[in-house]
Formats: sequence, C-alpha cells, structure tokens
Amino acid sequence: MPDFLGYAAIQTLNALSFSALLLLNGLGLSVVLSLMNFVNLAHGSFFLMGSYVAIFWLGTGAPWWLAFPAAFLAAGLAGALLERFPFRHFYARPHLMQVLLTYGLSLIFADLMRWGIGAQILLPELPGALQGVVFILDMPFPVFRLFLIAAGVALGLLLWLLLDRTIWGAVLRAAVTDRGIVETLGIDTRRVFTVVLVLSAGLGGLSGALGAGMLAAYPGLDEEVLLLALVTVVVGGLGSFGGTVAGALVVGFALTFSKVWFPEFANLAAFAALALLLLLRPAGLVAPPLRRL
Amino acid sequence: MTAILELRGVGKRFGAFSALRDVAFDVGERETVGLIGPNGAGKTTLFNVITGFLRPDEGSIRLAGQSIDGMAPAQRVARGLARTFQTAMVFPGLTARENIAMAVRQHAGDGLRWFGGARAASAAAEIAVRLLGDAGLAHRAETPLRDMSHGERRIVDALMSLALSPRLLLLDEPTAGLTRAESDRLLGILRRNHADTALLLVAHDIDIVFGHCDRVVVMELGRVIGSGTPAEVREDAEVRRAYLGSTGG
Amino acid sequence: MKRNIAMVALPAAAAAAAALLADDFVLRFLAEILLFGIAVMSLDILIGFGGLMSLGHAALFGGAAYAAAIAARQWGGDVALVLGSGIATGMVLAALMGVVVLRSGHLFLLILTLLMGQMVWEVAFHWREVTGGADGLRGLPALSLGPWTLSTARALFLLAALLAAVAFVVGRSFVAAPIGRALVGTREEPIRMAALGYSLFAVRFRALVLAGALAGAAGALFPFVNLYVGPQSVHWTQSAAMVIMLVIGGIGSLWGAFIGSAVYLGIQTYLSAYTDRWQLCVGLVFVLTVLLLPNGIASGLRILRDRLRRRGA
Repeated sequence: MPDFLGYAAIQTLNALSFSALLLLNGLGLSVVLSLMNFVNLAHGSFFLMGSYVAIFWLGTGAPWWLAFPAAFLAAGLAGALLERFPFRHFYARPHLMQVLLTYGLSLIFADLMRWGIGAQILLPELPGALQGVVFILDMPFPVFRLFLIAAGVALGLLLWLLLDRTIWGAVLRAAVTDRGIVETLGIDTRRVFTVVLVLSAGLGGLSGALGAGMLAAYPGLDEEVLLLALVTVVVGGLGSFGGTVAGALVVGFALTFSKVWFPEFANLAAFAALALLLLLRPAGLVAPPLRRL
Repeated sequence: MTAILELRGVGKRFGAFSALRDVAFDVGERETVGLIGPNGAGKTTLFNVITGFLRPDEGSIRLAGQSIDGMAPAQRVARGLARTFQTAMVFPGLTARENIAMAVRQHAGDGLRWFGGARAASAAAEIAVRLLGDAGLAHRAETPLRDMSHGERRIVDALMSLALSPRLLLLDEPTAGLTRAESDRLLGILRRNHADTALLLVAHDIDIVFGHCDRVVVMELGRVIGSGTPAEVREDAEVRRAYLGSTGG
Repeated sequence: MKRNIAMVALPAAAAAAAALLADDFVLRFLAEILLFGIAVMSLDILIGFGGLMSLGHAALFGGAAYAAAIAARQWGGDVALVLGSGIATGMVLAALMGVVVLRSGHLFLLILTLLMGQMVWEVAFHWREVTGGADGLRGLPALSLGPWTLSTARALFLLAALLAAVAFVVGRSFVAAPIGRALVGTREEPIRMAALGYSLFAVRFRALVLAGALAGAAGALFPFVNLYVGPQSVHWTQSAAMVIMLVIGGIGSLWGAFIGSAVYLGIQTYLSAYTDRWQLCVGLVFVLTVLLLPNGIASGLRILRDRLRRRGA
C-alpha cells in the first residue's frame, strides 16, 4: 500500500510540475489573447528560443540563476521587435488573418533556429542545486521538478497580483474594454499593448528556459508546446486568469495520468478527454459571461 | 380576438440582475402592438427570449396556441415568427437581391438545396427583385449591402423578414436613425405587405408608436407597467411618470 | 459562352500536353499537385466560404489515404473500391468531426479540429498491425479499372486530372447552389441566418461532409501516386500546410487551391534539391502573401487580368 501511495504521490507531483510549465506558457498566450484579442501562434517560437538561450547560458558557466531572466529578456526583445512589425498592424484584423500571419512567422523562426543551432536534441547542464532526486514516500523524485512547481506557483501569483491587483493591471483591462476612454485619460494604449506583448513573449521564453530541464530542446518542440498552450487556454476558457490555471491543471493531469493508465494511447486518451470536456462546456471551464445582441 | 403570441410569467436574470420579471401580455392576430419603455426596460431582452436567442429562466411562451418553449430560433421561424435586430443585420458582402433571396429560399424550403438548386435559386431571385421593386429599390438590386445607405439597409432588413411571410414579426427599433421620409416609407412597406402579419414593434419615436399601433405595452425595469390603446396609455399616471417624464398632472 | 469553352479547353489542353511531354517524375509530381489541390479546394469551401478555420483537414485526406491503401491491400486495387473507401472514410471522419466541432466557433473550432485530427494521427501512429505505425504502408497493388492496369505515371496523372476536374465541377456547383449561398450567409452573419430560420449546424455540417468526400477522394489516390502512406499525411502540420497552400493560392476562389499546392510542392520538391532551407522559403512566401496579397495569387491574377483588359479597351 505505501508503494501505491508513493507512486500516486509521484505521479501527482509529475502532473503538477507539468501543469506549472503549462500555466506559465499558457499565461503568455492568454494575456495577448484576452487583453488584446490577438492570436499569436508564434508563441511556441518564444518558448523554444528561451530554451536555447538558457541552455547556452548554463553552458557558459555564468551564474546559473541568471539564465532565466536572460531567456525572459531575449524572448521579450524578440516580442518587442515583432510587435513593431508586423503584429501591430494585425490587432484589428480577423482572427483568421492573425492565425495565418503568426503561424507563417513561426515556420520562419523554426527554420532559422534549426539553421543556426542544428537539429540535435540539447539538454541543459543543470547546476548542482537542481540536480538529483529527493525521496518522497520512499520514491525518488527529481529536484528540478520541485523547482518547476515552486517557480510556477511563485510566478503565477506574481502575475496575478500584477494584472489583478495593481493600477497598471487596471489600466490594461480598461484599455481592452474601451480603448477610446483610456486614451482620453491621456494613456497611450499603443504602449500598453507593446508592454503586454513583451510580457507575453518574455513569459514564453522564461517557460522555455524552465522547461528545457524537463523537455530538453529540439526543432519541433515549438509546435508541440504551442499546441499544448492553445489547448490549455481554450480548455480553461478564453480570457480569464483562473481559467488558464484550471486549464493548465486539467491538461497537465490528463496528459500525465493518461501516460500512466494507457501508455500506448496516452495522447489519444488525453485528447479525447479534452475534446469531450470542450463538448460538455463549449466555452471552456471558466467562461467569461457573454451577453450578445 | 385570438392571440398569435401569449406570454405568461416570463422572467430572465443575468447574474443578480433581473432583466425580465413576470412579463405577461398577448398579441392578437393581425394586431400591431407597440412596446415602449426607457432604456434598460428589457425590450430587446424580451425579443431575444421570444425568438429563442436567449433562454428564459421562467414562464411560458405560446405561438398560435402552441408552446414554443425550448425551441431553437430556426424552429420558431419555421412556425411563423420573424424578427429584425436593433442594428440592421444583413449580409454586408452580398447584394440586396442575394440578401432577400436567402430568406425567400429558406421560406420555400429550398434553403439547403444542392441538386436542382438552380431553378430554386432563380425563382427566389425573381421574388427578391419583385420585393425590392415594390419597395422602390429595384435599381439597387445588384448593389452589395455594405455600399448602401443606412436607411436602404434597414429596408432590405425588413424585406428579408417579410419574405418569410411571418404570422408575427418582431421589429426592434425599425426606424432608428432613419429620416422621417424613410421611416414613413418603411412603415408603408410593412403595412402594405403585412395584411396577415401581426407586428410587435419597439420604437423610441412616440409619434410612430402612438400613430401606428393598435395597442401599446409599456415596460420599465423588466416589468410590464401598463398596456392599452394609445389613448389609454397616454392617460395612465404610472406610465407618464416612468416613461413620458411628466411628474405633474 | 466563349469563356466557358476556354475554361474547359485550356485545362484539358494543358493536361494533354503534360501527359504527352512530361517524364514520369514530373507526371507523378503533377498528379500529387492535383490531389493536394483537390483537398485544399475542399478546405477552401470550409474556410473561404464558411469561415470555418479547420486545422484538422489532413486527417480527412490522410485517413482516406490509409483506408484506401488498406482496402487495396486486402481486396486489390480496383479504382471504384479505392475511391469508394476513401470517399466513405472522408465523409465519416468529417461527420464525426462535425458533430464534435460545429457547436463552437472561432478559436474553439480551430483547437477542436486540431485535437480531432491529432487523434486520427495517434491511431495511425500507434495501431501498428493495421497502419504500419511509424513506417506507414508500402507495397500497394497497382490501381486497376476493369481490365486495364493503371500503374504508369501517365495513367495516374490522367486519373488525378480527371478527378480534379470532377471535384472542381462538384465544388463549384455546391458553392453556387442555395446550400453554398447559405454557407456564405453563415460566415457573413450567423445570427441573421438563425433568425431567417436556417439551422447553422445543418448548413455547416453539409459543407464539412462534402469537403470530407472531396478530400477523401483525393486522399484515396494519394498512396498510389506516392507509393506510400505514412502518419505524416494525417499530422496537424500537414493540415497547416494545406492552409498555407490555400492562402498562397487564394482563399475563396476554389481554383486558387491548385495554384497554391503547385507553389508549395514546387518549393518543397525543387528547392529542397538546392538548399535545406526550403521551409524558410515556404514561410517567407506565406508571410509575404498574408502581408501583401491577403487573397492570394488568385486575386493577384484577377487584378492583373482586369488591368490588362482596361488597357486593351
């Protein structure tokens, strides 16, 4: 029995660490989607870029913990440049056009990264503090994944405070609801949108840096991660912080436990469960109240 | 007088806000009923509930004596219930003829036809052109709706609903934003074509409501606060207070 | 009338010339373009006419390809059997997808089609006994039509050209018919359509099933042109590639689909001989199309034609 308990605990922790990653990455996608109504399918590129930045940083021997802000800044900078051109011209366009533009860009970035870095699978040289395992109920569990869970919770809380509890977050939400009013208050909404996009891209890069220790980094990871982020955001319900948290937990647990129960058809089972969930709740878990007409 | 529409105890809440409370009234066959009330009175919500775009929390709705509770909008249309929207809701990329033909085809049961669709389509186009001609818009038949004026769009919008030959037509502020001449033209078209159609009409223009309606229903804050002939409503003290803004008298 | 004759005569002449002049490699390549063109055209009915952004279209195409290949290995390569099993599979998968996805719109539709498509991929990848898993299926029997065997590149090309012509006529008749107009109506103003008494689901479901039939027919022939079918053909990146072909060719024109698939496959086949960076080129062409020519090459050609006409007049 203790074996079973320990096994269950380990799998739960696995699911939680995966959820933490999904949360950070999903939040990056969902802030631009909910606050700017912009679908950014190049989000996976920010993630993979962050992974590569962190791996190279850790390889240089510089202080390891700086790898994460470095990934955030690098991806954020890329986001800032892209925001200037061409994203800004597509905020008012239909979702379809945004999807096409950003997906096309993600193809270009994917091939550029493959060109510059190569197609091999890269693993980060984790610092001693994050290596090894701890024993939980006599079962080994990687320290790094505990670090992931802690980072996910801490950064998630920080973002929630920022968006929900500060004047800056209030300006942001107001700018989305009624751009005109906010502009008459003398606030430059264009700059607000730039900041949101940089934050989103930075979050993507940061999650990539964190995720490298769990998923490694390789061409194609950007697409896999994008897919997971989209599913997270949509399952949670577009447009709310709580929804993304719920989505990350559901997707993280569904994918982890389907691997335990149906090792061969893990993704099939998980996708079927998620599709069923969306069928039962077509607007996602936490649906924003809608009143049309 | 037999009733085409019967509302009984209809209620609708959005969270803690009661948009409709215990709404009950009838619309008789071939009758023209005006629905008035200040902003936020629940008129548009009531329209959405009647047409099936919103589900009421309580109460029942009968159309021509039969319950239509729980039916999808399309099923209600099939039973003779048509509506227009507060803003002209048309297909902006399609021509005026195509807009109306879309309604004609559906009414004729050809809306989803593929095989033998050409004949159905040309028959529908003919009717659409005739309706446009009756409304004095024959010369605009091939113009996409996005290139038309607001008034013309409203007329096309109304023609689409009339093409369904409804037994009851709900009009949500059909004359909003129209000039006097355009309003009269639109109402003229409706009168000419609706000999068998009952109208339930929301309008802010008091002259139109009191001038054209057989009966008037007054709403405030989700409730019906009065109803009767235009003359009776004009005299009702509560209505005057709530809507006509008169405190004295 | 003159235009109609030209519309029939020109492609027919081009196909005949290609069949006479091109070598086997080019003929197989052209057949591939035509088959993908059909699938992309069916996607155009969904995206261009219905506004239904699907990222699971390859599942219909590739699912049908698997079904046709499996049926041919079991019962031989009779064209009617191959096409029939492909079309049926495409329609069944589309109907299943429709029941699941058509209740939601926009992004939800995108994600749900993607999830459904990936479920098909998971089956193709993991059900090794039937699909060959990651290796896919090879060693297919030659296609046959009655007493004739259609194994040469020329015969396959002509078959693909015939199928493309039929598919194009079917697609055009669908979008011109009341059902096709209704599909445009659901894209333009769905609420109005409901208020006119149309069932949005009924309209969209019919379009999706038709698209499934067309994509299925094209998918059925694909393994025989390609001599192989593998899990990549149902992967969501293949669906995305179809969207790219559609956008490059031109959304909402039907025939643009064939141009788009020619451009995409041309870059993939010919450029990859010179450089590993063909995906970069596809990405650049795609992004430039979205930025500069949002309605694709088809609209560019149309603008060019109108300009020439005006100059001539």
